[in-house]
Amino acid sequence: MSDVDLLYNELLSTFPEERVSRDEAILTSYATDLSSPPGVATLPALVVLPKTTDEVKSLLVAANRFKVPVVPMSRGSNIAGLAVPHKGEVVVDLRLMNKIIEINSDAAYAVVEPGVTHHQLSLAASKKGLINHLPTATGGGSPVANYLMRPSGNLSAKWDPDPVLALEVVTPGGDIIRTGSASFGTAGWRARYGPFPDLTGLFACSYGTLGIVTKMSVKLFDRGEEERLLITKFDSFPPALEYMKLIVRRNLADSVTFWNWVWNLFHELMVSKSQKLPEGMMKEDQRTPPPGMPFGIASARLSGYKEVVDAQEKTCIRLARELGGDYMPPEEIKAMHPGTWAYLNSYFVEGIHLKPGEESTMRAALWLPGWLINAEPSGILKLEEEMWDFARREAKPPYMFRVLPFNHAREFFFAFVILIVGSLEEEKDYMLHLRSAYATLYHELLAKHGAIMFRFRQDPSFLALSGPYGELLRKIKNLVDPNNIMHPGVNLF
Amino acid sequence: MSNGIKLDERLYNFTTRCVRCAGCTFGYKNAEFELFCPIYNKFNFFTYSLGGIAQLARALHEGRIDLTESVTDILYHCTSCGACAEVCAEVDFPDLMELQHELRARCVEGGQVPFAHMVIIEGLKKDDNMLQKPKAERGKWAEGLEVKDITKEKAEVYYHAGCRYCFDEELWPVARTAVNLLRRAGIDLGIAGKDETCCGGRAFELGYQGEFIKYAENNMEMLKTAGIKTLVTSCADGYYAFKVLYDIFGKRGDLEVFHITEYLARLIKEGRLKPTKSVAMTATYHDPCHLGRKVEPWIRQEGELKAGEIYQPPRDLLNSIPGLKFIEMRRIKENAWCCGAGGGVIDAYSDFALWTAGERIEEAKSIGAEAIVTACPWCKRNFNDAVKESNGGLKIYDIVELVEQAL
Amino acid sequence: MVNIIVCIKQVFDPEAPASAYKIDAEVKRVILKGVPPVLSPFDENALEAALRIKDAHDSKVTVLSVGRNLSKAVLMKSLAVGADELLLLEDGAFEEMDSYATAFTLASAIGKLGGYDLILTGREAADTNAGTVGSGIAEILGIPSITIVRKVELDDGKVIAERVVSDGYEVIETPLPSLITVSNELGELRYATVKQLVASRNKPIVTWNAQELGVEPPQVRQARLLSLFIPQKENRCEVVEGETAEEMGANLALKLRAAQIL
Repeated sequence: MSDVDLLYNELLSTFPEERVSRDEAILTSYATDLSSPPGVATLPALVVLPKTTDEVKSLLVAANRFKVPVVPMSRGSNIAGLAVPHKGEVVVDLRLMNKIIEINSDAAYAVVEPGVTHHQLSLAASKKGLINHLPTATGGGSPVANYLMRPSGNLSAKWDPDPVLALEVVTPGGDIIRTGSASFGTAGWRARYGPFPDLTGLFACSYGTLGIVTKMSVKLFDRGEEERLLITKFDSFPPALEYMKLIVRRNLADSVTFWNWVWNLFHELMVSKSQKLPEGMMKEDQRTPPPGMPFGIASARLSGYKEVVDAQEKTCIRLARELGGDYMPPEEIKAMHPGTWAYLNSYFVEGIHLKPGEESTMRAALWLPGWLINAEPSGILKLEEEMWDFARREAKPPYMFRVLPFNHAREFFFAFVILIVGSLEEEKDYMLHLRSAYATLYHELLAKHGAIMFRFRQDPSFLALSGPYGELLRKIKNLVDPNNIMHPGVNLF
Repeated sequence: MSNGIKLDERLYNFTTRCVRCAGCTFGYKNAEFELFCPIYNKFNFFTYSLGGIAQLARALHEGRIDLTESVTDILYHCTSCGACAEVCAEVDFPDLMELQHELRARCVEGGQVPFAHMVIIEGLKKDDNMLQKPKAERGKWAEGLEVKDITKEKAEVYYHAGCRYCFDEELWPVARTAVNLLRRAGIDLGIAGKDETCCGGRAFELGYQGEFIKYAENNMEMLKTAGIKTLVTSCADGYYAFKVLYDIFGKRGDLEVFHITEYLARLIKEGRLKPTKSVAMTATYHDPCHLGRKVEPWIRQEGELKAGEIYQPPRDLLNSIPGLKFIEMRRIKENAWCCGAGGGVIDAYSDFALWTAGERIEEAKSIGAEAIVTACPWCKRNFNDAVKESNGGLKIYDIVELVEQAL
Repeated sequence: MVNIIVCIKQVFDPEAPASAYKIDAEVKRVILKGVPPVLSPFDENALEAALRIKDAHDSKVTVLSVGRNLSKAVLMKSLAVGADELLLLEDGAFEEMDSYATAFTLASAIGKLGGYDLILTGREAADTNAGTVGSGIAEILGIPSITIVRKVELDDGKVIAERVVSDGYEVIETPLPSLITVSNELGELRYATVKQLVASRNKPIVTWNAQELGVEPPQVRQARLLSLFIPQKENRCEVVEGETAEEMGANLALKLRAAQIL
């Protein structure tokens, strides 16, 4: 009997048969995501659907006993291969752990399980006059999984981008630990930090390599008396960057994002019924917008008391104009980029994704998970130039970028996305070529511009660059997961 | 030797571009993110969703998995209710049910279909109906009604009863009532009696597209010979077949197709039927998939694709009945929860069909309804069976029964 | 015990409507969307003949089929209605064979099985309608054959068959082993229920490829498919003119003579 056979039999003593599968057809559906090249996929060994933290614990204990690796999957909407097996792991599908355990209006937080979706949380928070941090990722994704990766979102700048407070984690060894104030049992889930070292941070950006998170408390925020989307337009990127830096550091906006003209055209797919990308996106010179169209827009979320929001808006517009940009009133943006307006209003202001949102744009082209990096403001300016260079050498139209400040504008998140228009069968080589170009790219960007890859991209040599820090992380990994059963496919350790 | 299947480029592209957001499993507009995919809700694995089936289809196309019994078992558990297609991408194409239709056609071509369906299609070929009953008995439901026979006399409007109404004796009163209501309103009606044949819609849904074409051609030939330009049916599946499928395959010509609910709603509006008697009950309405979202993107009028779904007319009918308190469930209209009968599930996986119906009955009960009103015999049959299984608790009506009570 | 072998060809449902047929002219293949493979109807009659013999005598019925991408689910119907064993000859080499190669391959399998008393096939396949494989098998095995039969009975080591002719039928007797090709007049194959189909999973299905069978299908094909096309039907209607009925009739007669029909 193989280890997997032994594990399967062991699991049947804890789990009912309907929640453990080794059926090839079922396993096949878990093997691919948006990043999978055609014809390339590894089947998981098993798929398990736990309902409780105790079930997760017994699963990990058994997996450890037979040394079978495990991939935790909250909602499985990751598009970069993080929720699919790479080495025949057991996929732990957490979708049935989908309760919102608590919404605490007094302290403004919610406690959620991994199977809860952004939609669910938005709706529940909204009913209590609160708003949660909403990433641009699909509304059917999981806040637990998403927040642990420092997402961009509608509240990224003002309230700092880390919406995570306390966690309940099952370690590979089967210990169930709670961090922050939750570790005490009677202190609720309000606080990230107690008087001890903060291990919530350890699990952030660990991509399931250190344990399975089974509960998380997340920050919620008051809805403003007034909530407004303010659009300003710019004819080049540098002034837009300066604008974003200023309005965030001077507490004039909850968050702000820059979208270049190609991305604004791309948003049309969210409201149109077209099967094709808008023609305008396909032009050879991707740097120059069509006549009359701004190079890009900055969308700022303003919220609070009406007097304050009015003042913030006025000041933002003044700053934009001082930098050479201008106000873009609703009628103007609605006429030029109706999709952008509809999407950003829903996303930034209402705090809920437009139905069905970004995922519907995938029908027209494949979104290749690409450059996602962060750098300080001056580094970002250089990255824009770097991006055009890279695109000229390696990519074909269309491609697009967006930038937003995190953490009081100390760092800016820079996302460069290449869209693949043809069939994947035709474009397989192009896709693989880009992926291999990215492999060396991150090292170059770090060396030249101080840019860090925003999310780990399965390149172990990158961790090595952090020197003793990486060494300590390895020691912790060995301590917590000596058999290396947790998501080895990430290639982090 | 790989026993995979090949999809056309559009469908393959779709499968590679699925983001795995699982939006295909929960509603937006009318359902507050409540789960509306029966297979996902019951079996829980991601595989049992449009996204999961897309990944599976991708693997079949890429030759990573063969078309095994296990694969077809998953595919045929889906009622192809279209709730997922409604939400994903929200565009005219893909009507993502096309993915299911193509996959099933491939299953049929590969000879890999659940046994229950093989037997049913044999029955169809022998007796022209989906219920494995003798063809000679098809006209019995109308005995004593003395309706015109369109194979012998001219009539303005043809009433197509459908296999379920013709052979399910418990449901005969509904078809008879429909006929009587139409005649009462002065409609010059005819039926085909024992010469009526299946519309072919279910055969199409099972993947037997060749069989479907045969029935489409036969039906249109019969209607042409009889000089019929207007068809009315009480069966939602039949409505979908005649209105949408026949049109997609270029068989419908200029035949006007109506469902009984929209026809009656019009008659009431024109004052040809006047509901005056009170029918005191608290009732909710179940939107049949084939009347609503499955009809949505495909009606071809003047060269344009237009929506032809029927959500409002049945509601208008219920609102016109005095004394009836009409309340809505949560998963309604384009986000309605399927009754569980469609796509052959009632035949191949009857337990699952009953479970699905049971969920709907619970939803109705949870809002305080005494009765579910529907407009399709397959829904009614499945609800009836589910209520029997759970020992009562809710009444099941077809909408025409209540209209008749009110006249 | 009587050892009966029934040869069954898997074909695309011959009842598919004409409008469903499309041709891929390049690979010379028929494309039939949403049309299932079925047991060739005359072969079903042959199976019914075998089962009627089994109803009356202690028999073993083995069903034999040759091809590529044979559908077990479809062929299992033969087990569901009462056959005892299914032997599939499945190999890429067995695709699109001509009549001779088919007869040769089936005869080889039958020879390898050995110990047969009666071989039954349909009078012709419902797709090619060539009607030669049955007789061909008999020729290769060196046994007598009776074609287009509507009734088959066994009596004391002999088979008594009623053979259909244009104005009735002949009664022919022949010793075993022999081969009979069966026609639809014999009667329809009995029905399989879902239960019987499910139960048929317990009956043996054996698969041989070309190597296991021990043959190379003959390299020389007796027939080669040159092209495959759907004939274009054209309806032309010429109205015969004339002042009177007699004149029209006379003009029609002249046209018919010009067309060399009269």
